[in-house]
Amino acid sequence: MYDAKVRGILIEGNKNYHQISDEVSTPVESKPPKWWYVAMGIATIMLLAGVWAGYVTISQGIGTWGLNNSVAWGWGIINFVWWIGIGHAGTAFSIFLLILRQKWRTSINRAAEAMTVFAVLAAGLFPMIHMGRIWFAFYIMPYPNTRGPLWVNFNSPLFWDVVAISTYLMASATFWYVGMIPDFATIRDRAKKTGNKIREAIYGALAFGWDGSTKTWLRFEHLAMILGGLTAPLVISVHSIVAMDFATSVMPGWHTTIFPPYFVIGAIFSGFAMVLTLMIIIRKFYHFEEYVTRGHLDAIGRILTFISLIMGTAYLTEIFIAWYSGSEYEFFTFFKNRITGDYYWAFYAMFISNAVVPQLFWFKKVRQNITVVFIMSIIINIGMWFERYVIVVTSLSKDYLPSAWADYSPTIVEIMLYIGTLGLFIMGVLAFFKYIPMFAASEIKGILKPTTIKEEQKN
Amino acid sequence: MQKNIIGIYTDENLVAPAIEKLESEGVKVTDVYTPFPVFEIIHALKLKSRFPYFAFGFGLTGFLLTFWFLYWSFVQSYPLNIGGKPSFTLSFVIILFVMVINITVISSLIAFFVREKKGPGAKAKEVAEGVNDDKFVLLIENAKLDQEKTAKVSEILKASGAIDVIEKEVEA
Repeated sequence: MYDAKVRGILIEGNKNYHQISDEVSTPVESKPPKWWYVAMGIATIMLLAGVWAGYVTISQGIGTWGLNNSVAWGWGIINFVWWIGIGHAGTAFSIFLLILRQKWRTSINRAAEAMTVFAVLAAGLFPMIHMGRIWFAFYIMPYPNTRGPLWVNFNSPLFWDVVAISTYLMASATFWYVGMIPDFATIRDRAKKTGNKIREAIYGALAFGWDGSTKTWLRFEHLAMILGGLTAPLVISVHSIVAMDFATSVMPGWHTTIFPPYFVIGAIFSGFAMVLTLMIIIRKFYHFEEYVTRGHLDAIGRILTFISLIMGTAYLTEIFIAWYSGSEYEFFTFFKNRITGDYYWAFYAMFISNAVVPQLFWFKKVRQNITVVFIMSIIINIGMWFERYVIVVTSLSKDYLPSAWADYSPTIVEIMLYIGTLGLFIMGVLAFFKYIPMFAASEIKGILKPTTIKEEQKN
Repeated sequence: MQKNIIGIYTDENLVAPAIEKLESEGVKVTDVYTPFPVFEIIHALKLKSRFPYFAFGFGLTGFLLTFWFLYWSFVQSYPLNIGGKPSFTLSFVIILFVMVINITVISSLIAFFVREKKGPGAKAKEVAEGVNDDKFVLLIENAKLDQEKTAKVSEILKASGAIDVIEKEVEA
């Protein structure tokens, strides 16, 4: 039983069901605000910059990047892992809380899942572009071919990545879509009432003929649990596999068993931070304060504190093992090239943003101050970017052979590629704000009564 | 003469008792249309789904298909010599794990939409207005009831808290 007196009211403002339909559908049915057009314009310019960079990369080759023989992986893989990490929380959030039957997920799951889909799309671009000869991309598919037949290496983490990430994208996109069907039906019915033929046709097609039958609801609930239950282990496996891209190679700083759990936790950490950023924006700009309450933000803050502690433990464990293992290469990487050395700034940016700053969430005053929470969520996202930078660049730039040591800095093409994916992500999120109900209205209606304090209980 | 009787509610908690009352009178409730799933109504209608068993079947099929494919392509069709390591290895587990999920997700989705006859272009059954908004609509379809029994059903619906009861005659 949910005790609203103890755990707080989830949806404020004493709403009835019709009000919820009204308020959730309004952004879809009305013109977007002015700032939306401005943001969309900026995102389009960013995306165009990325398209230019992609064109340069594909037409001229990877030589336009700042990579060299030693640092053969640079911003490409850093941004790939960063985006995948962000793409993790949506589904992690939505599904773990679904399985654990946490009712407060209903205000956040839709936006978190939307974010997942766009982040994974942005991530997927990097390996594609990095191939250099993108027109041979289909070689990665295992199909009977005339080259032997030469099958892909089913024992390679890079191939596991392809399978895992495309499955993850498919599963999270469908989970997201299936959840939206009842809300599309609501918009369809409302459009019919007001006589908006075009909207009725579009959302009618999207709603798949949904009619709210209890028989359908029963199977729908089963489907949600099946998809959720299956995607939950996938969340763990996808980032474990990304970690194995690194951990199975014999580089100092990468070749450790801590990598898979460390990556999974890091991914969930950065994704939760991005969910927090996004929810604060939705709350502020669309005035959904009654749906995303301070209680919701407080809960995310608490989770971030806990994950941040795990992050700190992982960082310290790595450093301890580097010393305790007695491997001079490990020791060099961690003590001479991370804590001290050329890349100390990146290491401390990572450590302070991820393990120290989030500890401020211990204080209720901090969790209650939305501005501070927003800034902290951005800091965590930046910190997680630096984590990938530290992992990729420090290990590669100074490996076993000092004569092969090299520095790395990105070229304008790499930077523009990154900006392009940011543009793609922002565009996706803005389109989501306008065209899709931002909250799972049907689920919110379902938890409304059990989570409000009844009149007779008030006294 | 057959009849469709529709009871419209605004409170989901009133629907399940009404269904039980009707069933005890021997009237079969066809379906209830609601804006969100209500456990009590599912329970009162005595609905059961075999969906989880089907999903397990899909998973099993996915496992066997993937294993067969991996074994055939990597061990039989063209065994690559990668550092002298055996072709048939434990690391198949990872692809198996992911593909079982992949195949189960896709087949469950297809099964759901096929079984429910839902998809782009599918027409929604229009029972009453506001089903996807704030109304809970109880439907008794094609009931063969005499005048007296119909009045009784209407009375039960109204007494249980329905804000409106609609009777429609349908051609058999």
